[in-house]
Amino acid sequence: MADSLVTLSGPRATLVFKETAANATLEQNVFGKAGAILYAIKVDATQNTGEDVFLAIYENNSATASNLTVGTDHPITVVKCAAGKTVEVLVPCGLAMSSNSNYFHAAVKTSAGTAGNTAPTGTVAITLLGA
Amino acid sequence: MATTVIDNTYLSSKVFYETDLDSGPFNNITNGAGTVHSITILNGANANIQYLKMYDTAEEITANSTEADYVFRISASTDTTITFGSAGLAVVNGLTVRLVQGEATSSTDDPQANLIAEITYS
Repeated sequence: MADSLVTLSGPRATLVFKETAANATLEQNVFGKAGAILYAIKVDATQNTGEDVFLAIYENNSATASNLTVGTDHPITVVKCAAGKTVEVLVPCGLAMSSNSNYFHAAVKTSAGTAGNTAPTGTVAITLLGA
Repeated sequence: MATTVIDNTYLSSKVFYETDLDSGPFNNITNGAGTVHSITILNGANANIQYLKMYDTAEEITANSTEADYVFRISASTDTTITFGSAGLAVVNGLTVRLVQGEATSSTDDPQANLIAEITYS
């Protein structure tokens, strides 16, 4: 597992969060700031051929997601990625938080919607662009 | 509620246009497998967050209990377009959509206004 956060100059989404092996354990505060806006999502499951996976993005008032539970709390965005596939989602006008004091967190699991906290059997990479 | 479509033999691209997308599911709008290219929800005149729930199924869903394959928050007071890159979003069984006020699986609260939804697919 390796994650990184890169700051770009100029473009609409200035922050790039990448995790090369995302799983059901929360990636906390992916943009390293409160009040971020999400502009694009990529889920790369080409190395995970065993089952479909679901990227769940959560909004929470704790930077460490201390009061957030995958499988119980409701994600604000869910993106399915079929086994062995890649999916890209672009939101040019941005996906904003309900409060500028909140933080984005992310996890990848094998169940749709809210339910489930089982990690993928293979490697799933995620890329999130925000500002 | 009024649904109109572009779905004919003259174009490979198709359009689903609904003037009041709400909690009541529109089942299998792609009529089976397809590729979704873009979704627009006109929420600019509505000062409330909405949640677009999408399901890859040709079967009828239960609005307050079926877990969604895709959930997208629609920002308040914002006309939102979602696109899926050059490959599009592959739908295997059929695309079912609905729009509600809450992110919870159980939410069946209709949006506070009649919101237009535009979905392009092929």
